[in-house]
Amino acid sequence: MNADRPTIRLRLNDRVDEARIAEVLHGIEEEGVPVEVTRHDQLNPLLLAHEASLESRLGIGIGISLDHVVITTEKLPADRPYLAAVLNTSPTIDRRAGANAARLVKRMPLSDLNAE
Amino acid sequence: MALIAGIDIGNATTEVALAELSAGATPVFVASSIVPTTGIKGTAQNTQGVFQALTVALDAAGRSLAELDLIRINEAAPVIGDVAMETISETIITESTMIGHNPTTPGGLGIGVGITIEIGNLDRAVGGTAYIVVANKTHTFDDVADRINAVQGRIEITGAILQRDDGVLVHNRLTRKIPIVDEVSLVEKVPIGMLAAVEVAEVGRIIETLANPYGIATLFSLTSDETASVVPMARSLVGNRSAVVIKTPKGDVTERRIPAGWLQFIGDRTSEVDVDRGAEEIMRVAGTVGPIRNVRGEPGTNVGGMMEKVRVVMGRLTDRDPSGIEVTDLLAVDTEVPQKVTGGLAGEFSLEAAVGIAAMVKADRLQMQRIAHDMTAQFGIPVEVGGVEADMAVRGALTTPGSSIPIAILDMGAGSTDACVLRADAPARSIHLAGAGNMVTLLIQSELGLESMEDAENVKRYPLARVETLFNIRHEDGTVEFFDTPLPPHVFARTVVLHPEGMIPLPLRQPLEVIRQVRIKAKQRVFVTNALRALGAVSPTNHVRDIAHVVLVGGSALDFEIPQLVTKALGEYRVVAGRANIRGTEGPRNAVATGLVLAWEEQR
Repeated sequence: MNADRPTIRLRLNDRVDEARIAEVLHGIEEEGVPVEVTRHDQLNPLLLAHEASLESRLGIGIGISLDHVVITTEKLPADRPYLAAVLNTSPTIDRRAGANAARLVKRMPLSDLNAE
Repeated sequence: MALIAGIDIGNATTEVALAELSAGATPVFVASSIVPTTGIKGTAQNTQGVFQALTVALDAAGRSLAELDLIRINEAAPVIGDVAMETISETIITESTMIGHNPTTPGGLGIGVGITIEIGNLDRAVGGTAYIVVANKTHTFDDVADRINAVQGRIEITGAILQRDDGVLVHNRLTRKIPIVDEVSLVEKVPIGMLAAVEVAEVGRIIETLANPYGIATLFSLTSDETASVVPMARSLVGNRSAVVIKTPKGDVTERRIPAGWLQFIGDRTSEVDVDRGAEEIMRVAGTVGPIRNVRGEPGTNVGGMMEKVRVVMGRLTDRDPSGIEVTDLLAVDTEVPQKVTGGLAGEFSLEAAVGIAAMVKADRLQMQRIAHDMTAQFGIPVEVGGVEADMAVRGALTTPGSSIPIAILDMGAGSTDACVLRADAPARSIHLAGAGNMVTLLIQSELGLESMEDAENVKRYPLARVETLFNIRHEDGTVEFFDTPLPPHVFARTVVLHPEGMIPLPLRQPLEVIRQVRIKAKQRVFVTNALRALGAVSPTNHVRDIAHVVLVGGSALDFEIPQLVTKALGEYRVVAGRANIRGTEGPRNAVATGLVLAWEEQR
């Protein structure tokens, strides 16, 4: 894949099953923003998200590890991410998390990740 | 030496001016205070707010209630029933349906025409016919895409209507692309087996065919009579990015005008006007009867019910017979109200014409005497009713540095707009008109379709901004402001109200500029209209241009743009207008309270 293509970067911990992030990816897809997923042995979702955002040409990164989805931008420090949710709380929340990452790119209002 | 409190009970706030008076000397004002009014202005519930306001002022001056010699209250005209809406047009769709909404992410592109079919019944579809697939939320996007791909080729599928927010996901998985409208909440109401058209426009564009009556006529082979009947539907689809129109056998769409009833103005003459003629005509007729003594609405109509409600509420509050209550002024304003389209499938709204009305009830001096009497008993201090409110305001306004007689004041409050002219050689002329800040809030609330009055109040009071990135906002005037810490996610990319306590995101999808224009127009229609009406009425020649100087007072004069709007409008009449600065310290506030103290001094 072309490294220069503007995408959201999603860094996924090696131990997280691909099936668990399906709805997050669908949320991004429904909003029409491209995403690239890579695997890493880093366990800290904050660092995964931070590094993903630095790598993303859109400046938006997602880190998924343990039970957390973390969404951040290249302008924020690693320990202060913009959005976070518990992975697989519900398909709706996963979908919203993905959609919110895409909406940060599109500069559109976000959905609440804490309400059903 | 005497300690006197002038108290102005307004629709929104109760204000106190506390002064020491000694014979032969000018009054020395020692404290002022302002608290929210309790209950409706001019009723017994006001006592509580008055006590609170007094306490605040006395504390500030380091005095006690027992030291107070006299309280003077204003002759408050209660303004109620102040605001109501009459919708005078309505879009109704009978036995025909449409979906016209803006899901953020519809799928596909273009227009498709076919017979509606439930996705579960695709295997029963016959070849050679075009179909529009309807899927409820039990079908996932994989399922929808698989089923459509499986039959495409055997039968022709030209479009899809989905309940879930899955349009793009389905679209990405289809072998043949079709327009898809998603997020249709009432998908179960979509009639099956009927001819339908689905249209999705490109990103950044709006639908063209279904928003055009002749476009609909072409797709459904309509006669000219049938085409005329789809005009309101096409109109309500204008501006959408996606839409569905479904033709049902007896389908017809009608726009009907609800008879709103007539209003009767009783003054020196009596005149009637149909409410559906609009605000301008209502106000023209109101101006032809001389001083208004009463206003009645046609019994059995909406406006009749509204006027009746004003009387009943007022009667209950003042312990009077409702039939004896007289409405002495009324302000009508043209507006638009988003009304649910009857027959729509996704909760569509259509902007319908409406008239907003503010009504005012005649001040009852006896009622105020009773309140004064009650307060005297409660506080153990003499309480008296001062003169006409506008006359008091003009006395207070004259304490503005640089002002002198002749002077005109415009008192813009929450419930009413008052004006008074004071000349050296003539008695003061004043007028008390319905319609002020509360009316503006109502117009903003209904035109933007805001659910909460609080949001509407905030839109009225504070400027807007749009959150552009995590670190910056763009103000409504185009300037950009940066922040050191990231702005919270709940305001990201939203239009916000810049409340002093922080940004409040608005639950609106309209662009900032549209919201701003609604706000400005609401203020103009109420305050500019009333400023001209009020000043015309008190001008010695009945012409606004014969008033030279106008001082603006009252709570709405504190607004960040109302004084400018009024000043600009009056400028066209060569009238110089500016915001008051009562006693050189209070700004446009406290004019009536100050005037009440000063008037007592003059009376002696």
